[in-house]
Amino acid sequence: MGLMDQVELPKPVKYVFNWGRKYSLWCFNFGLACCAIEFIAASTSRHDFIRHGVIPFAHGPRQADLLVVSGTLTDKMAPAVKRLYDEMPEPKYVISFGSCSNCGGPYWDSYSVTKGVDQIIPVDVYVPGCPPRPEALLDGIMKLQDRIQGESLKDRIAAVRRDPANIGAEAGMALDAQSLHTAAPAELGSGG
Amino acid sequence: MSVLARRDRALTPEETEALLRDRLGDGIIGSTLAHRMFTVHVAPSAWVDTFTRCRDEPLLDFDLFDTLHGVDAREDGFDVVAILYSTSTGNRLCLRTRCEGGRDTPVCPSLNDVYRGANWMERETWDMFGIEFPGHPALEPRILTVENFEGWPLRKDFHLASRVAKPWPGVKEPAELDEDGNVIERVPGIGDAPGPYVLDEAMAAQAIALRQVSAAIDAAAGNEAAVASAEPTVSDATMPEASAPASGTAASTDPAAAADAARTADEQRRAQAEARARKAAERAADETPEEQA
Amino acid sequence: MSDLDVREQLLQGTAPGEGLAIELVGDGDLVTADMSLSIGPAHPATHGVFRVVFEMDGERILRAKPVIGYMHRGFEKLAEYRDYRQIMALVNRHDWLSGFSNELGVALAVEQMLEMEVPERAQWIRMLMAEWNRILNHLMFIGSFALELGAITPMFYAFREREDIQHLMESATGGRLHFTYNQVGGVKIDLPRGFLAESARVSKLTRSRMPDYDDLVLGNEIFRGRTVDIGPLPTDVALSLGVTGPALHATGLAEDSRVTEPYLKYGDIDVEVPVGRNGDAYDRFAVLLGRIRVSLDIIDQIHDHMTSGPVNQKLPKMVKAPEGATYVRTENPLGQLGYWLESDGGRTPWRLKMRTPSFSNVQAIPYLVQGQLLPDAISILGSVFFVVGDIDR
Repeated sequence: MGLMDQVELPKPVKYVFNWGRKYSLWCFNFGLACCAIEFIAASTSRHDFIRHGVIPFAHGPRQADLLVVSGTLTDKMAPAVKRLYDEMPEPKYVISFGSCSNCGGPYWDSYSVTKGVDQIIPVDVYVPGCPPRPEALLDGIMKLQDRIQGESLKDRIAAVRRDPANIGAEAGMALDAQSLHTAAPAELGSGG
Repeated sequence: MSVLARRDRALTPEETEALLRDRLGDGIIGSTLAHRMFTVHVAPSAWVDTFTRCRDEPLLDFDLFDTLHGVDAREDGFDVVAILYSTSTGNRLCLRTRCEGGRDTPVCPSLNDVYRGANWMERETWDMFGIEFPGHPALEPRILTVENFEGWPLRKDFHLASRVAKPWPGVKEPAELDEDGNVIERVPGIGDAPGPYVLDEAMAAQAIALRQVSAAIDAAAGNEAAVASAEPTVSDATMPEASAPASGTAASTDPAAAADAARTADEQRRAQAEARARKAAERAADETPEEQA
Repeated sequence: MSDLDVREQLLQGTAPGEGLAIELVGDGDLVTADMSLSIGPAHPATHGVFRVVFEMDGERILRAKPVIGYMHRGFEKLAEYRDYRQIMALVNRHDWLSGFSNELGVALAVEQMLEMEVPERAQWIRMLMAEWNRILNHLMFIGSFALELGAITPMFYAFREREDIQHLMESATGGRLHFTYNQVGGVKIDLPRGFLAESARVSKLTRSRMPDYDDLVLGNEIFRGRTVDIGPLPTDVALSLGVTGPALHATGLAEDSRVTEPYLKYGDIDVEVPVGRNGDAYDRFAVLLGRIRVSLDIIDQIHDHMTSGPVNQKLPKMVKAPEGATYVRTENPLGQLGYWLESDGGRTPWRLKMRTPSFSNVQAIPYLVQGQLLPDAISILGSVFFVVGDIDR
């Protein structure tokens, strides 16, 4: 992490690096409601998103790159989702799967439903539908992979730092970056 | 024990009521038989005794505790309804009582000692209606809603905040149409929430701003004459009212606003050019380390 | 710094019980302490967001306290703001594995209040769909229960069948999970051409694959070891708690409203109710498998009985239930689903109470796990068969 956020990687390195990341997305399914069933359907033999490099066997958020929030998020559950998201290591991605986690869906007027998971965590890809078909999830995953392929890790980490929610964490990370700064040229040399 | 073993000896609704009246006297207030459901109205004082009788009386033998829930009874407070079923006779009995204490402090005796299943049902009823059940081991914490939730959601005077803040955008709901399909204007009452239409106003303002920008872009493209000839119709301040959707065809053309919009368009174009330049620079920067390597 | 020093440093602050509020009890040689263990709300052992707090004495559970409400979406309040057509699209979502059966209950309740006669073909179609939906639901639980006990393969087998059945139902209803196929007075649209032939084919295929589950799961020695005589439930306790469905049938009581209070056309056909012996986890699972076979039998009978004719009734622009209250119960895949519908004669219900099977069944968990070992609690939690949305609504 110390290097990635300091230097823009050379293009071929970045290409290979992003190619590797996009096809090994360890996925943590935060299955909340109906959409979780369609998520399981997408992971089983007929739709099978493992062929796209999505591995749904992350045992917890600490091992995961991708969080799929599938289903209705209630106010009672929201702190748990926030906590799980915070436990995930950077770089991390979130797919909001289904209308409920996009915007509240059929429960837009409910007194106990959080109207969209993006109110508490940042979302990369929204998959619409109630529930969306497994094919829609596959499409969402491919959209996310395109995004990962074209992305600069430096910019992404900088964006995360700018997020007001992470101001507190910044001090620790900056220190970390500084201590590794001396090692940076050597690593760059071997990387290039 | 087997299913429906005593169906031939099942009591009719009249016999059931007569039996309960015989055992409980004044505790039974009356009964109704409507929509294929037999309901016995019970006084709160006899509530627990009635259930004990229903469970233990061999002729009744109501062994399956089906459900218990509250119903909002308008000015009179709240009702508590419980439904019992007998697996041996196949009878179903609905028991209903009016809580004491009106709308402010509704209270109903707890059935927890008679049927185990009443425990959670009563916790749910307390959570939804605020009906207290003396004798219940622990109504708190709230079983379904968040622990610090305020209010009793299923009471009719509890309004859905989303409906107040944001009426259904666009098409009206079928519930608001009459038999001929016309939209009904309703006076807000209990449970209704037409709201202040804040969002509608904001959306109208946004739409107008968009239209101005597009008009300005047209103007910049050489259609200045068309814009200049149009007369100023409505000022910005009055826009968000009822006239906003109606002015769809006549593009708003306040000269000041148009100038503003033109400036916005210019800025946009400049921003785009800048972005292009930045991207080119980035591309160049990308390539330099590569060459070095 | 020697290795030993490092090790001591690492172990500092991680002594057993550090950070836990443990109260030491007893004054003998063997000092023990009770510990509370919270599982969930997001935990692989509990499908869905369901939380249980166990009070443990070593490996043994003293008390269990389920904490629910993480999926409470306020269905009963939302139903009061929607008219009877819109409610159909709302209620099929609370138990997301049996969408068709849920909406069927509301349709029946409104029809009962309106005293409406539903065309015969519509009733047969409703039954056909309800039984397919039941199989869909049970297949999911076969997969997930085995998954909780550590076997991942049955899940793939179950989803192979599920995809076939979902494809079949989608051809008629347009939905994979939430069908919204019912409406007051019938069903939305007639079956597509060739549906019954396809239905018969899928029925035959599913039946031919049922022995796979017997061999794979029921006959499995590990499965038997983890479920037989685990968490037995006596019939009278079950009834007092309001437990219904497979969990009640497993206790030996064949209380099934398709038989005891037939709705639709269930009175015209044979419905067998598989029952268990002593209501343990194994029986609950075996009953589930038996119910799939019974549903396949029913589907075959429906194919023979299917009539032609209209499938719905012309409705007024606005469906209004007359003043009064009614209660309809149907045999949902997980147990009795009851709808209490109270109307003040308006466009929307005055009160729609959902008596959901999972809510009552989950109430039995503290009783079932008391005194059991922790690993057994997992097989008990899995064998009660609940859907979290159905508990919390």
